Amino acid sequence: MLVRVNSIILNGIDPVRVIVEVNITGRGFPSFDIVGMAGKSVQESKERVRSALIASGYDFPQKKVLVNLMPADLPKDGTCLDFPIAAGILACVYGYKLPKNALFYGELALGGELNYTKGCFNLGLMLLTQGEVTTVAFIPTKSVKEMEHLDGVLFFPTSNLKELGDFLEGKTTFSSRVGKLKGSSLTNTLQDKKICGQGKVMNLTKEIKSDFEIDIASIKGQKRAKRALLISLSGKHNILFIGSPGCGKTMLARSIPPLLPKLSYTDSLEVTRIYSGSGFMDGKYGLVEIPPFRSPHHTSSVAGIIGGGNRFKVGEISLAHKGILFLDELPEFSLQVLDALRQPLETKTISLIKSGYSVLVPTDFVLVATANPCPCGYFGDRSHKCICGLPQRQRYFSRISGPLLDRIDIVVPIFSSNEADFVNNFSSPIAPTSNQELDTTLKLQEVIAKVQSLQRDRMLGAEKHILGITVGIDNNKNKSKYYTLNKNIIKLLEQASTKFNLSIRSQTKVIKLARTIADVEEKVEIEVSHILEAISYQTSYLSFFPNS
Amino acid sequence: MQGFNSDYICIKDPRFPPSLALTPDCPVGVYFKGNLDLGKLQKSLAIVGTRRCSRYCTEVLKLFMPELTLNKVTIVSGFMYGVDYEAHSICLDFDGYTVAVLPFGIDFCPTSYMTSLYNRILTHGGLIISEYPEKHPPEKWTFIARNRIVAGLSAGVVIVEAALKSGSIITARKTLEYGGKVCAIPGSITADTSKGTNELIKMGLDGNAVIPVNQVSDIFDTFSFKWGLKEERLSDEIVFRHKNLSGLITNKGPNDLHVSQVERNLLQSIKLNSGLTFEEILEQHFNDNNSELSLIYYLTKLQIQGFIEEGGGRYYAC
Repeated sequence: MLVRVNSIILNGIDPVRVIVEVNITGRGFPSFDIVGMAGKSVQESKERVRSALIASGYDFPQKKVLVNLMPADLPKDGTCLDFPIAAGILACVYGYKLPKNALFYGELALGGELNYTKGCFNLGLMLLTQGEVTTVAFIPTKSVKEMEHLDGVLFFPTSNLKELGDFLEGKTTFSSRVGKLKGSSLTNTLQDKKICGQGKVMNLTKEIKSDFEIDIASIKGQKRAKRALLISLSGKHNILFIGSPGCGKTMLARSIPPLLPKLSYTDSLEVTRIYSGSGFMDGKYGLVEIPPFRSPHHTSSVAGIIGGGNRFKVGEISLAHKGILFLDELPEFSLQVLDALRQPLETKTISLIKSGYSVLVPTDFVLVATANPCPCGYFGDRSHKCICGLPQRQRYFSRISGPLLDRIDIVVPIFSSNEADFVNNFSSPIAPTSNQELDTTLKLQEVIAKVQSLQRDRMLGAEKHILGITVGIDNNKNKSKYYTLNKNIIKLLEQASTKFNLSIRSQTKVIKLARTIADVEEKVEIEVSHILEAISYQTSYLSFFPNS
Repeated sequence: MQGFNSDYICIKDPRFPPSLALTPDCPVGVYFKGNLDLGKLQKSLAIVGTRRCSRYCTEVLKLFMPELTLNKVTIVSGFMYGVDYEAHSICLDFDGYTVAVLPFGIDFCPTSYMTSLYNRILTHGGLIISEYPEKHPPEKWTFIARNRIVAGLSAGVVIVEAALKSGSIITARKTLEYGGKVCAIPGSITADTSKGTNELIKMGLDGNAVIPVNQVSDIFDTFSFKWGLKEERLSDEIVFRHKNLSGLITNKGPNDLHVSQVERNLLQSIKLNSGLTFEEILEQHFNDNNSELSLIYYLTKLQIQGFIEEGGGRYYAC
C-alpha cells in the first residue's frame, strides 16, 4: 500500500515542500529504508520512528517498508521528517485516511512524544504567504507558541503519536483541535508599518538583562558619544567608537538595548522567522518583539559571523537582523570576517551558496563597533604612555579596510571621563537614577522611536520585498524631496570636501547623516548646523591617521 | 618612481657635495635621485629628532619653516618617521628645498606612508641621497652610518625632539666633529620626547655648548644665515601659516573673517591648552543643557575654516 504525506524541510531557514511516500509491501525481506537524498539525521529517524510507534502501542510492520522523499534529488537534513514518516506508516498499516491538505512536521522522541521542532514559524509563514489557508499543519504542541501569532493558519497541535492515531481513528474531532486566531488577515499585517505592541513579548536578553544592560543616564559625561549614539540608532547608521581601554566604549554599547523601540509587526515576523528557523525560540516564546542585540567575540569564524558552514547555520549578522550587531574591538576580528561584512552591510541581505544549499538571509542590522586608537590602546591617553610606533598604529587601522570604513557613517573618539566623575559614579554604582535622568532616557527612547518610524514611513514603497520579507531598499526612489540642499549648504559642503578630502561617497554619507540629524531636531529641511555635525562624524577618523 | 632614475656620483665628481667631501669619513660615492643643486646645499640645515615625535614637533616646525624656506635654507633630514618626516613634509608644504638621506637603498621604500613622501620630495624638486644601492634593506648600522651624511651635508643641526637615548645624538656628535653647530629646541620637562633635548641644553655635548632655540631668529644668528625676506607677521591671534587652506580663507587678514566672540574664546582656550578633548572644552565653556550641539557646530566650523584641527580626537590650534 502506498501513502503520500505532505511535509516540508528547511533549506537554511526557508521551508521547501517535500512529499514523503511510504510504501509497505509484503514481498521481500522485512526492512526499513529511506531513499531520496536523506542525510544522516533523516536516516536516523528510522530508529526514532520505529521506537515511537511501538511505544505508542502500534505495531511496526514486519514487512518491507520503503520511504521515498520527493523531490528525490534535493538533499535533505533535519529531524522534522520523523512525524510525516510515522504518520505515513500509521496510515499504511492501519488503513487510516489522512485528511486532505494535511501537512506533517515534527521530531519524534523514542517514547512517541513530539519534541519542539525549529522552523514551525517559517512553515506557518509559508502557508500564509502562499495563501494556503485550507492546509492544516500537524505540528508538535511544544512548537505551538510561535504559530499563535500567525492569524489565519490552521494547525493541529499534537503532543504524541497516540493523539494523531486517535484523531485518525475518529475518536477526537477535527474542529476541536484546530487553532485559529482572531485578528486581521496577513495581507493587512504585512502592510502594517506602524509600531505594534500586541502579542506576547519574547525577550531574548532577559536572562542576562540585569547584568548586561545599563541605563544610558548612568554614564557620566561623554555627551558627544551619547549624541552620536542617538543619531546612529535613530537613523540606523553604523557607528564606530575609538577610545582607550576603560573609557566607556563597551558601557555605551551596553546602554543600547533599553533605548531601542519594539519591532514593528512586519519586522517582528522577519526576525522570528530567522530565530525559529535556527532553533532559538525553544518553544517558550512566541514572537521576537525586541530588537536583537548580538555581540560575538572577535575570535569567531567567518561562518559563525556571516553564516553558512558545511551544514547551514545562520550567522550573527542575520541573527542581528533589525537589531544591533555589536563588534567589540573591531580590528581584532579576522580580516576575512571584516571583509565578508562589506557586502551584507551594503545590500542588507546575504546569499549563501554551497553545494548542499543556496539560501538568501536578510541582514539588516546596525553595526556598533569599538576600536582602540592603537595596538597598546593608550595613544592619546594622558594617564598612560603609548608604546606604539607609527607603523604599528597604521597597521592596526589598516585592518579596517576602506570599503568597510565607507559603510561606517559615524566615528566618535571617546576619552575617559575625568576622575571626579568616576568617583561619583563609583561610590554609587547602581544608584537609582534620578527622575531627571530617567526623563532623559525616556526622551531618548521617544526620539529614536519617532525618527525610526518617520524614516520608515518615508521609505514606504521603496522597500524591496521577496515573499513578504524586506530584502533591501531602493535608494533611487528616495532622493529628491527630503535631500534638497540650499546654496549655502552646497557651498559649505564643497569647502569641507576640499578641506578634508571627502570622496563623493563620503559626501553622500554626510547628506544622509544630516537628514537624520534634521529628523532628530524635528526640522523639515537640512540646515547648516546639521551638515556641520554630520561632517564632524566623518572627519574624526581621519584624525587618527597621521598625515595620510 | 617613474621618471626619476638614480645616479651615482663618486667623491671626485664635480657634482659631489663639497661639504660632504671634506669630512674624514665621507663615503666614496653616493646614489642620488632628483634635483641635485650644489648652490642650494651651501645654506643647509639638518633637522632631526625622534621617530616618535609629539604634536609639539609639528607645531615648532610649522612656526619655523616659513622663515627658513623663504630665506632659502635647505632642510636636510634622515627620511624616517617622526621628526624627519615632519621636517621634510613641512618643508615641502612651504615650497622649500629638502634633502632626504636614506638609511637604506636608493630604491627601497619601507611603507606606503613613506613612499608618498618619497614621491613628493621628487616631484617637488627635492633631492634623495643614499650610499646604498638599489633595494638595500635597512639595518641597525645603516641608520647610524646615514647620520654622518646628514651631518656632513649641513652647516649645523637642530634637534627638535629627542628622548634621553636617541640617534640624534650621533648626528649631533658628527656635526661637532665636522665643525658645525648643534641647536636643540627646549621642551616640556614632563615629556619623554623632550628629555634628551633639555638635557643637551643643560649639559652640552662632549664639552661643547648646545644652543637652545627659542625663536627662529636664534637659528639665523647661530648659523649666520642672512636674514632676508621676512614673512609679514600678523599681530592678531589668528595667523595662518598654512598655505593649503580651504577656499573660505585666502590670504586675507583676520578682519575679513567672520569669527564670533564665542569662537574667539574657543580658539583662545584651544591655543592655551593644546590637545583638549571635546568633553574638556564642553566643561570649560558650556554648562547648560544641550550645549554639545553648539560645540559640535563651532568646532566643525573652525576646522573647516582652518583655525583648528583634530588629531586623534583632540583639538589643536593651527
